Amino acid sequence: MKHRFSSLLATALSLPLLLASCVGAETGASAGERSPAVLEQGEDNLAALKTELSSILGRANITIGADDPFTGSTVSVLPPPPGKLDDRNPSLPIMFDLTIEGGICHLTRRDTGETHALSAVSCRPVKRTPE
Amino acid sequence: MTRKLSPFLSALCLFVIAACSGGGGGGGVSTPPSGGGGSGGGSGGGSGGGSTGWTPGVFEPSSNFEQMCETPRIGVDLEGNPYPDEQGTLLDELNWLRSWTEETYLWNDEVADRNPADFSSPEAYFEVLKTTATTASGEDKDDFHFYQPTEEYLAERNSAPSAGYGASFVIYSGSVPRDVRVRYTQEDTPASDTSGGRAPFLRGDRILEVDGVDVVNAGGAAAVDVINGGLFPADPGETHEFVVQQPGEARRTINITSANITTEAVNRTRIIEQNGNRTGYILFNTFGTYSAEKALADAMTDIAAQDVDDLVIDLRYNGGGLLAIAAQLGYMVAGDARTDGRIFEQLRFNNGIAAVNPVTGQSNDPLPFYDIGLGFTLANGTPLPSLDLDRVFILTTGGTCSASEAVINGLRGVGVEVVIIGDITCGKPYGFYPQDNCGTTFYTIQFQGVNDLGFGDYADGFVPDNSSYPFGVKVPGCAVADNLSHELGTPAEDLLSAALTYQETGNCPAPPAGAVAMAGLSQLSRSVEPIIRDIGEPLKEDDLPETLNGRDLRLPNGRSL
Repeated sequence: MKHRFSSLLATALSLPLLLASCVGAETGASAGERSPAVLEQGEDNLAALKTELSSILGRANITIGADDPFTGSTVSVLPPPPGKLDDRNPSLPIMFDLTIEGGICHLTRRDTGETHALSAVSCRPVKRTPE
Repeated sequence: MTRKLSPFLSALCLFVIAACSGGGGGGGVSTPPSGGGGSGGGSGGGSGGGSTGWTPGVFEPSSNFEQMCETPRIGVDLEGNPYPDEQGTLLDELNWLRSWTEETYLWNDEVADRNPADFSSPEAYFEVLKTTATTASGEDKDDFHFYQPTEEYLAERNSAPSAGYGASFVIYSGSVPRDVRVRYTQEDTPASDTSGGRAPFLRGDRILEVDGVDVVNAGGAAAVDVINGGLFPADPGETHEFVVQQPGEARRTINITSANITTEAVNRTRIIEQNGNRTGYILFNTFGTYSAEKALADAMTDIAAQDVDDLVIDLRYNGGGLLAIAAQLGYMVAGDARTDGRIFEQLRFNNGIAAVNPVTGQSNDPLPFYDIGLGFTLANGTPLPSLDLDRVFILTTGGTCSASEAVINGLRGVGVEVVIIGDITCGKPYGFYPQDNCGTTFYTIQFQGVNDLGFGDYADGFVPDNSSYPFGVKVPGCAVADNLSHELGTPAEDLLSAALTYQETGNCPAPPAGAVAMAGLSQLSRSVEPIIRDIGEPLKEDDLPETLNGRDLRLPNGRSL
């Protein structure tokens, strides 16, 4: 049933984006050639990231958590808020690492290792601090 | 002996008196099962179960019936997700409940397998899909089986800051003579604004009039509307007049203007220096908001900087929320040495502690004592402060529930001495994943939380060991009534005062005048737990134990108005 739900959502959102994400899905891909990345500035770019995350996670509403993807390569996505009566909620933010390879941004979900290419998102390598 | 007020009903009813008026469970919470029907067995079994028949003990996968709705919803929900409904039948909806219960309900082997065709609605069927066992206290083992409309569930969890004053009210009596009190206020809100001298609302204030209407005695719908309109303003910027009174003091007339209020998880922190000790105090009211993560870390950082000897965590009004933040709090109390490699809480499902969570399909990893931020409102990986305590005081009432109890249990599991001061806790070592099907969100208990020692059997709550309750898990501490006297976080406040006495002497304070034994204190404590009654619903005799131990429990401190 979850598959059916996800596909409905994806259809409602954006079929082209869904296809881009699915094509880019690379479970277990080597991260050796990729560099940690941060999001290029711009609200449009953040919106594009949220759209990609929406397709990946199969839900319309995406709220980015405390980690700022403009300044760090970690992206946290908050779970749906707990309901008023949901008093023992084991949810955690879903953590992703943002990387770049060949000019293409990728998101790797930490708990599953799945990697998704982000066709509509602009990012850049994290600047290394001088030693 | 009754055990406790359902914190769920309380939470709902505290919002608007009118929302709780009328019969039945207000706010969309399900009513008790209507009974009827024998259990299991019997005739009527068709072949193979499923949507065309029923065979006792044979269950199709719930996915065969999920979101197969008699009346499919069309469009998207409040969160923008398209409804997944497909055309089905009432029997499909009933069969989904039956199979989903068999797959995920914690006590699925205690549920009588009833023919779904005998029920006329999913809600009626859901009511009987639970255990009928009771705990040692005589309460239902499953006291937490309910449902609500999904739109309501989504609206609640996505609600924006709402209009109010920053005061929490408790309704001891919703029917004439009504008794409505201020339970606590939040700093930096209209309720606590001292620019005009004294704050408009004070803990323990009894609300006597709202906009000229007698709160205590006025009858009729029009009066109730005025009272609700004042207590629970619809919009920011509304000014209402109240007449309030502290016990033993003169009446005060106040005018107060509502504002958009965001409830702060950490209401206040204090450092108390007394008897040569420095004690940190934190009033922590909910684990249910993301902001709790950073607020708690900030509060504990401040307290850690004060080099305290002890910590008092006031969870008396904390009904739970996010378990991960409870685990973070556990770490911040106990520190690395006690928690490294230890389990804060492990979820136990109907198939035991399985490798895979049968509800989510994800790995059932135990929750550690998180020593870092997790990304809610604190960047992932941010080190948390810790006090490295081997003892902590926790202030409790029947409103101390679930994730709050997990803190007590988790810390006890790694050898921290938890001293509880107050009343028996709610007794909910269980949790659920609220699940929508065809427009109704169902809550069925799916897991039990156990600590590092594998313990999680506190369905009758944790209780101070000087209480006379014959049930509950006895924990070192003192039974003390939360009678709304004195401001929270002040050394004179009864629960905190008892904690400071215990800290100094190792003993509980002497019972108040008139109390003959700690057993009496225990009864006293139980009876002053906030009681919510619908307007128009008569008070029960035991709601008014005003003569118990010679104290008028309707009036804090036993004084008359």
